[in-house]
Amino acid sequence: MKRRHVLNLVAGLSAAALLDQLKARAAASRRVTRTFVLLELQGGNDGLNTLGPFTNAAYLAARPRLAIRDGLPVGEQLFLHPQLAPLMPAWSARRLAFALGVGWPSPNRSHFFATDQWARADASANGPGWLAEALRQRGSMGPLVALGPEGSPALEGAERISLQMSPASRRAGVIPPADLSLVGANTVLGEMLALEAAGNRELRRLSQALAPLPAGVRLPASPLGQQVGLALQLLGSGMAPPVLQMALPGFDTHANQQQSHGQRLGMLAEALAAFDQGLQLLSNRPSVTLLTTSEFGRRLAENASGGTDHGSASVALLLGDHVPHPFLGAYPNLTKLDPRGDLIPSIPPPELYRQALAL
Amino acid sequence: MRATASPECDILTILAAAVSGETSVAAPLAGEAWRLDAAMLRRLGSRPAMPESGGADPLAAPPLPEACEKLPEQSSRRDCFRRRGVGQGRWVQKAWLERLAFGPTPVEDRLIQLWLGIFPVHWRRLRQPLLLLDQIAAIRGQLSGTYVDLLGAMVANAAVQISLNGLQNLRAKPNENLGRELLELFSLGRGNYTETDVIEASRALTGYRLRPDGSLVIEPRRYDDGEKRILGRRDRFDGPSLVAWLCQQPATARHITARVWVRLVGPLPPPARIDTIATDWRSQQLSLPWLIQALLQSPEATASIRAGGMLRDPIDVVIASLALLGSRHQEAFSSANASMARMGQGLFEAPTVKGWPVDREWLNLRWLQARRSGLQALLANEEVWASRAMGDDLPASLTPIPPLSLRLPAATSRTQVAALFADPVWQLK
Repeated sequence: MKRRHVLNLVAGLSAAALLDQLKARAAASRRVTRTFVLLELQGGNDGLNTLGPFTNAAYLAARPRLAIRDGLPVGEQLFLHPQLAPLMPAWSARRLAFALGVGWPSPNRSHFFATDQWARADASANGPGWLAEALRQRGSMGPLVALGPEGSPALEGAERISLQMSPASRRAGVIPPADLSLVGANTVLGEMLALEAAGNRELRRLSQALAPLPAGVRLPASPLGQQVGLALQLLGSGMAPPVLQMALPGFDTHANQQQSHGQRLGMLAEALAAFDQGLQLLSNRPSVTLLTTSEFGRRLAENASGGTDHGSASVALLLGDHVPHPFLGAYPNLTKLDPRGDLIPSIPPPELYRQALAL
Repeated sequence: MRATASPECDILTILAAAVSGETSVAAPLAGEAWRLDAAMLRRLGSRPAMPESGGADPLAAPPLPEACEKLPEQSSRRDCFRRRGVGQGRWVQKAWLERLAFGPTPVEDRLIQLWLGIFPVHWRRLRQPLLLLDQIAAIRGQLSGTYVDLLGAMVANAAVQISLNGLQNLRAKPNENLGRELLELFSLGRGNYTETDVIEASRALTGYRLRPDGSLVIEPRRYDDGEKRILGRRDRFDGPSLVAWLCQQPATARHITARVWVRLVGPLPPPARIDTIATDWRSQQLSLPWLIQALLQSPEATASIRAGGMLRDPIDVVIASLALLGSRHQEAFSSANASMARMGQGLFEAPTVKGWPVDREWLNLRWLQARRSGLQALLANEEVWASRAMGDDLPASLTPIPPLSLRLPAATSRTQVAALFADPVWQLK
């Protein structure tokens, strides 16, 4: 189940070591001045058709059915998928950037293992969630708040407070308070109640503080739209959590990709456009950087089902107040592939995280 | 590929008498019967007790595998494999949960689940997740045997081999994944072997090949039949002789005793205490019934069980909740399977080869939230509630210590069950 390749990560970087530098920045005040938003694109997003060299001969040859012909130009020979058009205002305002050639040096193509590697910023998929660890390094307790329906291991561990808030969980109500005096000598019960009480306090505090949505923000009706709405309400609450997480599933496009991938990207773009619009309308908020991750990219060559199979290097999107516009890194060479026919990555996830956190 | 029906132990009639929690039951695990009372069953994670016989074995009729291999086009074959894999994986999850909650041999099944947590295979690692039925059957066949037999059966099991890249371990091109985990997790434990031992053990494990029927054979051309030096002994080791040699090491008995201890007794005691049990266990030829019995009957376990001192696994909470409701409606299992993944313990979805968290390691807010919302969703399902089969009372034996928010025994009602499911004490064993 676990492949124990000893990977030569750049200079043996681990999440902890990478984030050490953030120690110096331990929050002086309780008030959060920066919020990091993680958006997980689940299933392995096809970076090539998200942002790619749509006029490149190798690209066109490898994807006779899937090549995008009407991309939006964003750089030297690079184009965005047309469904991402709602993001063009953010691009022009330099509030949108892309990291190129993102992926592990020795990629694992299993969804669950690769997801774990990304969540822990660790090639062997061990250790605490990378964002929980980042907060520990900063001396911040959190909370880290997951808005996606399944939460995220990236937010867990390192003894930080990790919560889940979703329209569903808010409907379900808060955990009823238990009488701690009844616990007696049962330490596991005591720990469980203390943890739940802390979580309850945080959840109640956050729920009560939610800001109204800024007038004029039009949220798309998708589940991601709902998460974006909750994120904006939290960011404007005056007690914004330092870390938020959102999720959009459905990127495992093995078959009939053209339609489904375009649809996913359209959902993504509409929700993120609303998010950025909301950010600009919110007055009292921390500075925000959003980063998308996905467990892997997809193979350059399309498969015979009109889809693409698990690949390696992909692109990551950054949106917000501090982004490395236009690009971080360089696009992988489409004629220099690994033995499986996949793009060769140049930015390993721990390096991407380090750069994104330092913005 | 079918799980063969084991000779069913006539435990149900005895269990039926144990509903009150006062009668003890004989578990047919060892040659001689030994006693498990309701509190020990709860600690083990086995369902509390059934008022009536479970009926059909949910594992008995797996879906017929689609013949994907015969499709002409590569792309349609691939789609077919993917569809078949997910279909089989979901089927095994649901059927195994139903069997744990309602099957004919709840104690044996929960013990099998304990070993499935020590030899975890993620169903997504398998092209044919129905192979997991063979792993279940292989463990079942060794439950009254020794750890040597169990470890041998696991090393020779297709699901375990595939998930640890064993089939890619060839004489010419060794893959050390299985060899390493065998030494680190399944036998000696870290610090009790060298890198050379890993390399040499991996050589001993070369040559396994999967046959179309799901069984394994040794392919002489792929097997490295040379001499290996492992833990100071030179021999032409193969899988079985390697397993036997590893099980002769005191470190193996200590390590496995500790791994079972944290699942059944609680936080690890001082090393000397584990040593004592491990030494006794070796004098019992690593008998599995002896180990389970010795741990469950230890003074530490007795005190901890009386105090409800351990946190239940999500699997245990779900089994107990399903069994209490008594509904075998399919929605109960699909709801529970989805919730268990959110609780952090999807069946056959262990996060790593180390298995799932145990006891206090489950103290994670998101998982605790998911436990509560998952049980709430189960109880809120009208189909499940309409098909319930419950007694008139919720007995006091349902929890190890009195719940905080209701008084037991209580007359059965949806409100009282909701209070019980939401009570932190329901999470204890």
